[in-house]
Amino acid sequence: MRFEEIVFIFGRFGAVLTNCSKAPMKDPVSDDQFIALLLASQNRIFRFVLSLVPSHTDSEDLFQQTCVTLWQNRGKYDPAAGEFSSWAFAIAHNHVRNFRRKESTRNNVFVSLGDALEGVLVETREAHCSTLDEWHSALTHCIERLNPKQRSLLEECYGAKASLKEVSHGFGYSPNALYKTLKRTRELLHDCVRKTVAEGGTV
Amino acid sequence: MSLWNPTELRELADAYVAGSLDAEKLQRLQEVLLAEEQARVFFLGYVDVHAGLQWKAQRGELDVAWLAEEAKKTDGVGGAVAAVGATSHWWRRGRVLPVVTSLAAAVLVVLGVLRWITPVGPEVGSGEAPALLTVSESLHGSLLDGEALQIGRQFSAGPLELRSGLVEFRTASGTILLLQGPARFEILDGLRGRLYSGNLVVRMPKGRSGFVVETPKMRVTDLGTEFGVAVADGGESQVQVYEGEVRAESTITGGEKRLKAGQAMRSEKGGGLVEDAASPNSFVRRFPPPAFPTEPGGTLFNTSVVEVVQVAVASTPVVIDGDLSEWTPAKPFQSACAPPYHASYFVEGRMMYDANNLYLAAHVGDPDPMCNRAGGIMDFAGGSVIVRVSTDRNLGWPLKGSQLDAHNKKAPPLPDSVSQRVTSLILSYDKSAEQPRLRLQHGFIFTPSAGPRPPEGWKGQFRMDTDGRGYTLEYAIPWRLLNCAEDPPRAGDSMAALWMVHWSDANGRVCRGQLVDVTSPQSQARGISPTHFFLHGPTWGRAEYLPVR
Repeated sequence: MRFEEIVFIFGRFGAVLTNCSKAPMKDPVSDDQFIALLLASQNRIFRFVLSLVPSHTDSEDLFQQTCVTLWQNRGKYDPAAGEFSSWAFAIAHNHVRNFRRKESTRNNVFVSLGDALEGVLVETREAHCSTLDEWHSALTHCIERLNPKQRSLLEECYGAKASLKEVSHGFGYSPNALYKTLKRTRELLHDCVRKTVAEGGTV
Repeated sequence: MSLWNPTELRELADAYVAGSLDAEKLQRLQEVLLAEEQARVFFLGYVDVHAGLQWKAQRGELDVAWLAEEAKKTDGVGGAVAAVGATSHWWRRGRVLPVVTSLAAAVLVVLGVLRWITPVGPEVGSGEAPALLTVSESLHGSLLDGEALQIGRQFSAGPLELRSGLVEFRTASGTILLLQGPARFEILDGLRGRLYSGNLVVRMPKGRSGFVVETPKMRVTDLGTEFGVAVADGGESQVQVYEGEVRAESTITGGEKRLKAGQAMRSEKGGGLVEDAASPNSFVRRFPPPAFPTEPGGTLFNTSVVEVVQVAVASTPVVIDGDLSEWTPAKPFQSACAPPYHASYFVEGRMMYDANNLYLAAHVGDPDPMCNRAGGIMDFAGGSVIVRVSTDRNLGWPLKGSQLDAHNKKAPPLPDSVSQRVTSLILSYDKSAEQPRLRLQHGFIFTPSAGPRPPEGWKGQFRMDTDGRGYTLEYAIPWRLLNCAEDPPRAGDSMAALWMVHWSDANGRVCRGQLVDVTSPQSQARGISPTHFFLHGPTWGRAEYLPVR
C-alpha cells in the first residue's frame, strides 16, 4: 500500500470519528480522556480477547470490533461504576460469544474452553490484573535477552502473514521443528517474565 | 494436594495457543483450570506471552532488521530469517508513524488499522532462484511416475505431468498457479506456461499482470486478475475469469476477445471463440486449510445435511464382498464436502439389520483410498468411516450423555454417558496387513470392547473403485459385539447415530479432513464444533429401524 493510500484511510477514518464525536455524552469523560483510557488499556483488552480466542486473525478482528464498540458506546461508560478495563472486558466477552455463535452456525472449527471455565478465567484475570500487567511489561526485557536467531524466528512467526508451515518451508525447517523451537522460546519467555517480576523486575 | 503440575499445564497451554488441542487435552485443561486458581494464573501468564508476542509483532516491536547482519554472522538460517524480516515489514518503521499525530490517528492505532497496510510479498530475484516454479502446497499431488510432490520441490523450464491431486505452485514473481490433476503443463518462463490438458487457476499478486497461458487452441493473457483455464483431451479450451480481466485469443483464427469477472469463453472445434456459461465451481480456486496445526481428525469440510438414516431389514442373505447389489432394501444417504471438494470427497452410507447382525456399507470418494497405515487409537486418521450407534431403546433420542458428563467427578454420570450399548464402530482398511479392520469403543468414556482384540465374529470387505478414486466398504457386525444380543434393535426403534468420514494424506497416516453427518437439527444451536459432536450425545442424529417390507 502506498503512502497516499495510508493517508486516505486515515482521512476517511478521521471523518468517521468526527461524526461519532457529535454523539451526545452522558458522562463526564471527554473524548480525549476516553481515548487515553482506551490507549492505556488496549493491550490488556487484546490479551483478554486472545486468551479466549487464541487464533491470530480472529483475535485481531475481535479486538478491533471491541475497540469500535467501546468507542461507539463511550457515552455509556461511567467511571464511578468501575474500572475501565472491567467494562471493556465485558464488551470484549460479548464479541467473543457472538463470534462463537456465528462460527458454530457456519460449522467452523474452533476450540472453546466452555462457558463455565471462561467465566472463571475472566474473574481470575480481573483479580490478578496487576500481576499479569507486570508480566507483560517484563516481556520486552525478556525478548531483549533472546539471541538474534530466536528473535528473528519470533518476528517471522508472529509478524508474517504466512502460516507456520510456509515460514518453516521458507527457512528450511520442518513444520514440527519450527513448532518445537517456537514452543521452547515461549517457555523461555514465560519463565523469564515470572522470574523477572519475582526478583523485583527490571522494567 | 495440587491437581496440576507446571510442565503439563504449559504443554496444554501451548497446544491451546497453537490450535492443536484435541478433545482429550481440552478435557484435561478444563479439569486443571477449574480446580485451582493458581493454575489459572499460570495459564493466563503463558497465554499472555503468546498475546504479547503477537501484539508486539503486529506493531513492529519485534522488528529485527538491525539484527540481520549479526544473525548472518552467527547462523546461516537465522541470517536468512532476519534478512527477510528486514524486507517484508518496511511499513512498520518510519513511514507510517509521522502520520499518527492527532486524536483520530491515536484511535487509528488502537484499532490496528496498520495491520492492513501490507506490502506485496518480497521480490525474489531470478538470479537467486533459477527455478521457475516451487511447490507451495500439495494435496495428494503426484507426478506421472507416482512420485509424491513435496512442498519446496522446484521446477525449471520444461514439461510437468501431474497424475493426480491438487498442487499449488508459486513463481518467482509471486504468481500462484493451482494445477488440478490429471494435467499436463509446461512452464516456459516466469510469465508463460502452456496447458495441454487439465485445469489450471492463475492468480497474480495485486497490481501485477501479464502471465500468459497457452493452450492448443487459445492464448490467455492476464490483465491483472484471477482466472481458470481448462483443456479437454481433444484440446478444446475454456477460460473463466474470477477477478479482473483477461484477453483471450484463438491460436487458430486469430480472433481476440476480452473477458471480465464472471465471464467465460471456450474454443469451438474450428478454433473460434464463443461465450460459455460461467460456473463458480468449475475450478478449484482455493486450497484446503493446512494440516498444521490441526485436530487429530483433520479440518471439517462439510455442513451436515442428514438427520435420519433408515435401517432396512436385510431381506436376503448379505454377502460381505464389497459388492452392494443385495443392498436394494437400504435407502442410502448422501453427504459430501463443501464445493469445490464435493466431487472427490463424499460418502454414500447405508445401514441394514436382521436378527443377528448390524450391516454397514459405504461408498466413499477418496483420491487416496485404502492406504491407511495409522495404528492404535489413531487408526481412524489414515482414512476411515466411523459409525456411532445407540442400541438401547431405553435411552431414547436424543441421547443425553456426553464425555464431559462421563468424567464428572462431582455427580454420578448419566446412564447414557457410560452405557456399553452406545458403541463407536471404527471401520478402516489396514494397508500394512492388507485387510479390513474393526475397532469398537463403548460409551462416552470410549472403553474398548471386553473380550478378544480385535473382536471376533464380524466380517468386513473393502473394494477399491475402478478409477482408483474411492472405495466401497461392507461390514456385518454381530449384535453380540454391540452388547445387545439379547435385545437387539427391532422395527420401530429410533435411536441415536452419528457418521464420520476421515480422509488422510497420501501416506495414510495424517488426517487431512473429515465429514460429520447424521446429526440433530438442534446441534448447531449448541455452540459445539461438529468435530466434537461425537463427544456430545444430544448432537447425534437418528437411526430408524424399518419393518420388513
